[in-house]
Amino acid sequence: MTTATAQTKRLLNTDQVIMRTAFRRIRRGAVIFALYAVIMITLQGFTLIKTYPTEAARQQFATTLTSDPSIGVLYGEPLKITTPAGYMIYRSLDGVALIGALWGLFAITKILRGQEEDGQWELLLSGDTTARQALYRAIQGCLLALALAYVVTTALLVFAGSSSQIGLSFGRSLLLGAAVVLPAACAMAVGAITSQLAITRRQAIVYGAIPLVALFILRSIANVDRNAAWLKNITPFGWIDRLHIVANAQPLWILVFLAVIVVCVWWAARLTAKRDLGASIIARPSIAKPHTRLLNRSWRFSLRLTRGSILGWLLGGVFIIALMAGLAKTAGKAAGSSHSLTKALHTIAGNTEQSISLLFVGYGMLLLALILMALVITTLQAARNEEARGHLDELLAQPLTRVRWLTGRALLIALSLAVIIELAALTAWYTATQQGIHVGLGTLLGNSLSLLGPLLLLLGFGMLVYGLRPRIMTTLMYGFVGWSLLIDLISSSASMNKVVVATSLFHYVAFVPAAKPDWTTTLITAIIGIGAGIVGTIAFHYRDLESE
Amino acid sequence: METILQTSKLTKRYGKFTALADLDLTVQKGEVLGYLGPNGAGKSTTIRLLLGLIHPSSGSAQIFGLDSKKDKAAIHRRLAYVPSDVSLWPSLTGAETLHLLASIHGTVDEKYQAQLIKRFEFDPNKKVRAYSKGNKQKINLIAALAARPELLILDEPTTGLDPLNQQVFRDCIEEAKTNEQTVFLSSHMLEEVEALCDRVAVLQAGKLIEVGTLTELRHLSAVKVEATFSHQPPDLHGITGVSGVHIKGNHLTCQVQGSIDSVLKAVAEAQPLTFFSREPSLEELFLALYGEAEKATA
Repeated sequence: MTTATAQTKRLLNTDQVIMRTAFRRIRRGAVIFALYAVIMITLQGFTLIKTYPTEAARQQFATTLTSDPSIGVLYGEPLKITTPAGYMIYRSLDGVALIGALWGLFAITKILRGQEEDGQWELLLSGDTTARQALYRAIQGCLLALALAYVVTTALLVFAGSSSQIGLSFGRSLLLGAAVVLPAACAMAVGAITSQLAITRRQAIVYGAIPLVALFILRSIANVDRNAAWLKNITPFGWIDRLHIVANAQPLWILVFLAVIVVCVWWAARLTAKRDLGASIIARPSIAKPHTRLLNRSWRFSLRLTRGSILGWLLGGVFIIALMAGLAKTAGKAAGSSHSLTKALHTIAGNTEQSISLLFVGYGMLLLALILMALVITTLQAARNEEARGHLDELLAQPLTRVRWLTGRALLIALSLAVIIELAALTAWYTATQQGIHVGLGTLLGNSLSLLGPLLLLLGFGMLVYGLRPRIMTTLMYGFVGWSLLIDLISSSASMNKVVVATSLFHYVAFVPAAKPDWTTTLITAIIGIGAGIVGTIAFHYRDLESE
Repeated sequence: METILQTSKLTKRYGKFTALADLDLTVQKGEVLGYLGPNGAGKSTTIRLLLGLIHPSSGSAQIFGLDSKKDKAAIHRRLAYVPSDVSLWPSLTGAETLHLLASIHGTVDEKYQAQLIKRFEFDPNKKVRAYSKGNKQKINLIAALAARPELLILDEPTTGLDPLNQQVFRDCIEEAKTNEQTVFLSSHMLEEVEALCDRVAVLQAGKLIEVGTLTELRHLSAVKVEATFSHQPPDLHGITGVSGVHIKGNHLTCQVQGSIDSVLKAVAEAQPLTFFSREPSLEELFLALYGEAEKATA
């Protein structure tokens, strides 16, 4: 006789489901990160070959770069930087490692705290598993995705490295691949802990991002101040330098990464076993007095919802500007005597006759533009999340039109951008003036606003996609910025078709205060952005709301 | 009578799938309309169309004589909505959420709101993330009822509420009815619909299969008859309108469509020990309607 139990088909057990779900949810991001890393790294190698074709030119360029320790804020440890392999690691590995770490943090918090917040974790834990076991499996799934990233990265690096121009051996390619993914793995381990500490995914990201950025700054300090070089031993961003990929390789440092990962995962498992489902280790009061000041209008409510992240971006932007402006004089002194560095910086910044110090501040403005692009994407993504999670149904069932809601959000973003730009410009002026670099405050405040042109263009583009295809908005916006970075990177060292160059957002970023902005271009980009935003708003008005 | 809500051939298609087809429905002022249907019948689609959250593929809907597509804000000023899936902002407290919804709606009877908070035994000082599903639902209910709108659109509003709070909800709807407020109530709680609604509209697979008062609908279904005898029950086969005759020992059950006169006579002649007849409950009506609709589809 066939019983009901016997008829039940046994599929996967819960642990397998958890692991596979985690892997599937982040594998695409892992592959995109791998491709991004390979492009960013190899491009630098080919740039060196093209810009400095002779050994003598490379030697001179290397001497200039290494003569100024402040450059170490931006780049890695200068090892064999006259070779394409050494240069590409020096120029790009730290940046790639930071991006990878942030991606790793976002990915793991999505799988752990994000699923718990959305109630999916509860469903998974109702299966034949324990909280601790489920955590291990989820992390395993994420690390598998990272292993996939490693395979893609390494395969492509082996391929690129095999070219006689780059000259990166098979073994060193394997090590470089590891250096690309290990910081991301460390960040995942940190994120596994912060997912236990925080009650929301957003908090888990903030709790994780703070130590990661602090560790990156420690590496920067170690690069700038030779007396503080030991700091590299306590940060994953320093350990990748310690691997010495292109000279006298030290692969044993991989064990340090692995040890940290094991300890963090073990600690996260202990924490998860200690707490209730849906709760967090850092307790937040579930009872609070009502604060209704920002709840009277929809745009004020939008401000309340996004003020934390806007403040975070503000602090990040001001910090970068202060750092760059703070190093501007040293950079100017070191580089001013070097024709090759002056030439290199001019290539990046365009044909300007301003001093290198001002150019360095201008480079800070470029980084600020990048940060503000991230602000535009994340705040617009927050608006999309309102719709995806059904919150917008609640608002739009009230006498609130879609146009008012979306334009309110857009104006809030635009206003935040303007305020952050002005505060960053003020910081740049103060820091530069303290060092004796003359910058006119009024001019700097005024010219800095030219950054709004490309930022409004990105905002308008995002709103257009939001109006037409909301589900792919974030991907396309990140894609647009990624494309812009790529074009900017290639066009700074090689000649490119003007039309292609014009598709980069960074093409419209002026190196204020070193260069005067082209206000006509700024106005045109802003108008195109506003136009796209209006079309997007109209499309949003006429489309159905789309939840997750 | 004043028409509050009227749809005309309201249709929503997603590609080849028709979620709602040619809906013609009218709701009068002060009426409580029960909107019934199984999962996926198109109830929430109808409500989202009425609120303008999604747009019709064809047809139209008018609320307060205004076009639901063009005059959304003006319409929403005069109605309140309780969604079936509660998705409030987890970082706000209950009180903050009530304040937000009232501010954006623009109308709130604060005394009544305070009264509702008491009646539903709701603690507004907790963060939304700390509330149970039922308590989250209370926030939406209190916000909607306290706005004292002309029209209440309620999509399965008592999901997650305990029986005591369900009773409070029923009392509130009775009060709304007394105040001549109109209620569009989509629900799976047939008992609740039976207790509150003046008329019932039944939806299946996106099509309106029946609409009317409960009395009108009961005519569509058979009366249940049960009788016990001291001997073999009489044979009722062949009497017009009788179906489902079932005899077990001395006990007879059957269903009667239309006049019950002939059955009464036949049973009375056989001198029953007990006789019991009753009208179908809404649940039985609902099941009967779906049985017929499914047969028709097959």
